[in-house]
Amino acid sequence: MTQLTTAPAPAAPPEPPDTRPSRRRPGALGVLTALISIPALCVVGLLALVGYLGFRVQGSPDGAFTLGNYRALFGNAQVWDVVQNTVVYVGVTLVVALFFGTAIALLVERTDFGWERTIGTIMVLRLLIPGFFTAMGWIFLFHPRIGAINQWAMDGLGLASAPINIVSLVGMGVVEGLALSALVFTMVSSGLRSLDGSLEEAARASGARPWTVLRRVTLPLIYPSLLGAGLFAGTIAISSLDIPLIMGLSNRIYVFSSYLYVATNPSAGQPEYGVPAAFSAVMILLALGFSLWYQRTLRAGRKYQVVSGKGYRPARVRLGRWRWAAWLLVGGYVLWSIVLPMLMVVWISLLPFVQKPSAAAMNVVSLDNYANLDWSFVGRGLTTSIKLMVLAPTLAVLMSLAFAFVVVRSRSRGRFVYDLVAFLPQAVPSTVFAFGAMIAALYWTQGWYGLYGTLTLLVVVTALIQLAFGTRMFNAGLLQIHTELEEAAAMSGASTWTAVRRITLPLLRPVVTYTWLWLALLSLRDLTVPTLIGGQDTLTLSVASWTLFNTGQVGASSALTLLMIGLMTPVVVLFLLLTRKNEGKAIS
Amino acid sequence: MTGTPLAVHGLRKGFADRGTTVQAIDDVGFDVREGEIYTLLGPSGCGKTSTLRAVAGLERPDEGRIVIDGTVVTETGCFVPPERRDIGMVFQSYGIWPHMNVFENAAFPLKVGRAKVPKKEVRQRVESALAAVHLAGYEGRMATQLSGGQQQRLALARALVRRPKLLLLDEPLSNLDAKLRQAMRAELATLQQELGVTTLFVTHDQDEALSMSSRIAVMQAGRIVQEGTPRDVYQRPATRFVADFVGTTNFLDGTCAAGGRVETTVGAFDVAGDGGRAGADVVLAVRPESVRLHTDEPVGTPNVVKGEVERVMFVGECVDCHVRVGDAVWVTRQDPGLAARSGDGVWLELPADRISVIA
Repeated sequence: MTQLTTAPAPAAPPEPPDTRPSRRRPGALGVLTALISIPALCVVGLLALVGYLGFRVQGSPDGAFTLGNYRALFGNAQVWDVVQNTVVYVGVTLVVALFFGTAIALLVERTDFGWERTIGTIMVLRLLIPGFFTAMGWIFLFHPRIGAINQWAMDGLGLASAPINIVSLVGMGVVEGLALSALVFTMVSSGLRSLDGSLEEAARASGARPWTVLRRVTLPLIYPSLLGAGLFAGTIAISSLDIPLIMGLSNRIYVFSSYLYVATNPSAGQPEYGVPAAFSAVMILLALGFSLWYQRTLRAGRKYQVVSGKGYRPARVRLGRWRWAAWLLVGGYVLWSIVLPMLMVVWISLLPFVQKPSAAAMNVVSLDNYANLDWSFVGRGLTTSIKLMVLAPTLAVLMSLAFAFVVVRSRSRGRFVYDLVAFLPQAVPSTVFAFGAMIAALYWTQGWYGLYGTLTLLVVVTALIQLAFGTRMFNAGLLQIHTELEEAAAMSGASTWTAVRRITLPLLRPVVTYTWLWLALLSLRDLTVPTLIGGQDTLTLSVASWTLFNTGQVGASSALTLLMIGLMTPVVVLFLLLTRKNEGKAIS
Repeated sequence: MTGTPLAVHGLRKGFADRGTTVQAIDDVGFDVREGEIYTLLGPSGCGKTSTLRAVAGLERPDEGRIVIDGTVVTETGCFVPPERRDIGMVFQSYGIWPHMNVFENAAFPLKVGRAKVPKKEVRQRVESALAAVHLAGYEGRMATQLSGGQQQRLALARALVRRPKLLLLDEPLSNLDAKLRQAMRAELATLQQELGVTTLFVTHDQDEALSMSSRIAVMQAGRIVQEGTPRDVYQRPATRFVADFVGTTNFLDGTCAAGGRVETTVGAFDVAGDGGRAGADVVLAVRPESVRLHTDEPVGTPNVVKGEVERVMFVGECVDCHVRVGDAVWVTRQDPGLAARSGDGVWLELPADRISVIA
């Protein structure tokens, strides 16, 4: 983040903050506060609706009151299985993500491993790779029947059955964990970077060995970052639909998100909304509980925080003869989490049917899958994806700017409420929002204002979910803009709006550009919300690719996924060029 | 309409703080005369910045009346927003916009103001403002490439380019290093005098206040406790707080006796004037540089008290000689050639006309 204030730290002790507040622009902020109450009510309303539906027969808004949905959640063996599955899946995801993310962050930030920039960029790319893409890659590697490595192992070692079954609960967790370790990496490394290095150097000067410093000083101090990363990763694991759909659906291993999808989109019979609503309500409660815990940890952490002011980093630990182990970790991660799955998808996209790489297979390699793609189908997906990718981030950025202005610049008590509301879409799985919005549109909008299955609904829900990220970015951005820069404009005779237009927005522009691009990329890769909102209008490229995969057209699906990656590439390059100086900033 | 450049009356402002209300400004009133530098001096949290911000319109006071050049800008039921007040302001952090160059920064007030200024005149006025602060030739430079002192001068140019009736300075020198601060003090005062712009100056630095101000108002806990010329405030502090905050002071508790004498535990002293009502409890305040130190007992001199040197601290242009008198340690400022050492017996002479009697 660029330093936006121009002044060095004041030499004089600052006045106590209480003596400097003001209600100087009730006009502008009042208008904004009124405007943002609409999205705020949407966020809260959707969650309240889900809670309400949990107590209605069949989850229909006009159904009778019942506790049956909750009884089914904990009593019905099938549903209870889903609950247990979700716990195992999230548990494995977190262990994998926290281990790889933290280990690589420590290597980059605290040892002389090097490659800081490259690894940062790789991790940003990893965040952007669609989950179903790696899921497909891993299936082609480790599926018990069609997985190339399993086949080689069985042939080479003469095994009767496949040694590794990736389409299992643990397998899903590992794949999701490898994806989310990039998120943990960015959050933990920014935590490490903001840590005052002298705390660790003091421990070393007291005679502690590097491992002891890590265990006794570094890790306890970045505990809030770890907790935040864990909670964030956990929420994403629960909400994301891609890996559970691709890896779990065919052998009926359901977790929360895929259960929600299957229950509301049954292949036969009535859709069931009641139990999913009850399940979602439990998720909302868990999310709120964890968020409170996180907030309390942050507040407790602030008590001990030593502000160094400068980006001071402790002397790096020399890896010495352990360098090979570090290379094994980082190289292994990149190879297994990115390179091999990607190569497998490319390979499969060139074949008429799935088979392991071999000389015989080389003979049937062709571009047929690309040539034979149903281009009208792809074209529809492409149009929707581009519309979504432009509209959702734009709406999200506008709303987030308004939220951030109210939260950071107003002095009213209400601003804490808005801050909390803007945080909800991050804490609560996005699946729950999509589910609530789908029901609300289904029951309460018809005719000319019918929203069910429309692009409008998809854009609005996506933007509401992105509100959390946008507001967090703009809050931080606004906090960096010293209020005196705005006050100086007022002193120069500029009205509030002129000051915002001429001073604040130009200063925020780098953050706005960054946020918009990032959200655009996330909109493009998302499978969860478009699938759940479900409809003809919402067929994005991700949904198209999943539809092909689900109907057995694996080669075509691979080809389409690669086309989508190709579409993302220019935006990614632009994003990386704009943020060259601070890759690690993503997400955290 | 003309009048006093700035008149403030009965200003009050409270802030809610964990249930209770803290009175940040508590009935503050003062008038600033044409062309002077009027300084609000006090420790942090005394309400000086809040007062300045109320004058600027960046803060709404709960009560009180502020009149700038005959125009009421704040009164019950009336509040002129900051952008419509005829003022210029230099902020503590300068508030130089990093996305504009020097010219754009200085020209901003002319471009956004309600009165449209023709382009040619903008250029002329900006150039003359920049020349006044010795920044001519820097127009195209990005603001972030300026040094601290240059940014400070640019902020001043920006504040003056509209030719405001009133200039507000919020601790403008506190972000500069000690040497530059010294130089800017003189430069700022000279420039102010040349332009003749009436200035309200807020600082917690007593040297700045004493050297630059026409008049000083010392503030404590939201109130003005003394107002006067720098000389008055320094030499005749009205309260113990003022004496202590402005400069270093030795205090001596005493009781008034007849004939302009004050009885203390270390002896009786003559004081200038009548010394106050007999029997009244007073505090005597003496500046370190007012104390004369004798290594031999002076004969026939009044107001002498015996002490023992505790420590001699060399501070460059002088020595601070700490002398124990009774239970207290007095700080005295002496010529660096002083021969006394720790443990020496010395005699301190307190000239009657240099003793302040604080009731």
